[in-house]
Amino acid sequence: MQPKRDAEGSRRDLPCDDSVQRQRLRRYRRSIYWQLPVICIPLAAMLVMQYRFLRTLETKTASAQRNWLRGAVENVALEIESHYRTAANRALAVPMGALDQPEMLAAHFVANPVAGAKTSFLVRFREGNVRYDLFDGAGVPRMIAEEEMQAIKLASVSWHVVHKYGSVMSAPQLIADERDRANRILLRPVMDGTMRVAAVAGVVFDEKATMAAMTVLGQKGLRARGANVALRVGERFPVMPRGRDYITHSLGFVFSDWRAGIRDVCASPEEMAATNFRNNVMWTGGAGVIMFGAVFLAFGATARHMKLSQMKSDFVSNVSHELRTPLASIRVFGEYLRLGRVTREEKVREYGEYIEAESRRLTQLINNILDFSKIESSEKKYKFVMTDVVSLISQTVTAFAMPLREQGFVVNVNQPSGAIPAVPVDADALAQVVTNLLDNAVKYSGGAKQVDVTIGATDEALRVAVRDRGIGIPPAEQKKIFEKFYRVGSGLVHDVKGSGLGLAIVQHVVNAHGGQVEVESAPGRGSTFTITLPKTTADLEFA
Amino acid sequence: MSRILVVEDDPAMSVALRDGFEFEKHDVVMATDGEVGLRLAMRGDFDVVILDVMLPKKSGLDALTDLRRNGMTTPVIMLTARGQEIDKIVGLKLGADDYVTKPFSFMELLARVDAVMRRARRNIPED
Repeated sequence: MQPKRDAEGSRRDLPCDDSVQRQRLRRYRRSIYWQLPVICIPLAAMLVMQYRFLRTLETKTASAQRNWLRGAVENVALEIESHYRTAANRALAVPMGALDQPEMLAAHFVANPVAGAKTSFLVRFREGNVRYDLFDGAGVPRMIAEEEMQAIKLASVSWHVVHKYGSVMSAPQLIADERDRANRILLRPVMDGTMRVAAVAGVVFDEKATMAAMTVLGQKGLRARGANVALRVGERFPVMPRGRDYITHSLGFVFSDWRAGIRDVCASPEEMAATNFRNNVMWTGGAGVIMFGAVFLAFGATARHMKLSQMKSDFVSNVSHELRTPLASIRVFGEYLRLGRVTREEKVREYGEYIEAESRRLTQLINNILDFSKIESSEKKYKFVMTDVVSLISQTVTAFAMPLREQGFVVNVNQPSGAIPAVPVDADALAQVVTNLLDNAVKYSGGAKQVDVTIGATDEALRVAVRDRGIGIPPAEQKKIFEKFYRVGSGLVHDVKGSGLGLAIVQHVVNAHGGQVEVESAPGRGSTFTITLPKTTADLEFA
Repeated sequence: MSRILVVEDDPAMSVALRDGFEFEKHDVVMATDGEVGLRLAMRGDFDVVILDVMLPKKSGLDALTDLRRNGMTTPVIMLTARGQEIDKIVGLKLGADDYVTKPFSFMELLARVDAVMRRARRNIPED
């Protein structure tokens, strides 16, 4: 069973010697888990409380508003009704003398207009005859449509009956006949001297004109009260957005199916509350986003810090291992030789080779560490000397490859066909670069046993490529491997030995020579590291 | 004489340990990673296991834990370059019988191997 590991891959079931700093960072990171709710909860609570308060406020204001509107529209409806009653009564109080005098009749009607009426009429009953006098608004006799005529006849027919029977009426009443919706009629019987029905006077309404007239009337009344509302008269009212609906009241007299409706023109309390709340949510949301952003940035910064701290700590423990291991075998072989246990020739040679190789390995590591510390403290200086690079590289490769031959490892050097002139380089630094690249190639070769070094040249530059057929590097890591302390992870930290400094040093050296290092690799297909060095001294950083 | 399992991945140290123990007339079996080492140790016919801590595939501490969990009481001596007290304590607590830090003297390692085997013989009567 695998031991428990924490986010950084360190074992969690063993006591560990973390640095105080890392513990502090870990504690800070954990604290973020409770910082987030501490930020969110008050914000959320504030929003909820505000929402509820605004709802209460809006309900109270809205109902007060509605009560007022209800009162106002009722008044409007009553005003309209009373106006029409008055106007109609005046218009339809036809003087007896005008009963058989059309001009007088016309003049009477003109003098007493009813707003919205298209026709004023008189239906005169006399000795079994019925005479119709029809006038328009200007008092001019009018030809009217068949439906209107029918409506008038229908409205007056019962009065004809009353006239025939000679009943006596005390007071004439204003009557609305709305059986034909398109031709609504207000009529009133006209009495003769004996209080009998002699005729019926009336007006026929034009819908549009009446609607306009009533609206004007209503608005006059509302303006008088100083109300900032919109008035509408009619049968149907459009659906209005929240809080802006029409409060209506029926007219109740003529056009009894119509209603007067008023609504608030300025923003309703509901709308204001909603806008306010929306704004608050937006601003709070914005503030929240910024705060979360800050928290996550801090989180990321701590995570990075911790990772670097972990990498440094891994580096220290790895380096101590890497320094001690070669020393251990050198010491043991030395012990055998001192004790006289090594008698056979080949054994002496074998142990001698191991001692030499391990010493070289130790030297290289120490050089890497020292170079790295000089680079870090900006003290590293390079000495550029014209060098035969080809022979320098071959010598370095040979020295490196010798002990590896035992294990069946082969390092090939492919030299360029033509001669390459001397190039200004720091020989030690370049040898180190080649050694580091070879070391990596061998370390990550997996099962493969071959490394190829190819030296080539273009007009301006020298190229050295080190190729292995090993486990390769995933594209995501190909940039990171040049970072100090970085080693490609392979699950178990202990699989990968080494200081994590090799490529960082390669990059520094190559850049100081005015060149660059590139990697071409795919997982499972090996890697090729190519360094390019310019032949001229133009871009060099001199000490 | 005794059967010794050496689990060590460094080639130079491997050779040194093998030659050293063979000179002392022990039977030596070598393993170069934690998985193979654990498998061999589980076969149970070794008198002592020399176990390096930094191993590929399975670390020495993990292999030791698994070995002990499966009830194997074979004496184990841990070898490592990590020499801090905490590493020694951890190794011993996980079931190692002794702990040697590199670089070491081979004669000292040899003496500890003998001591560990002597302790084991004291606890289990010989048949």
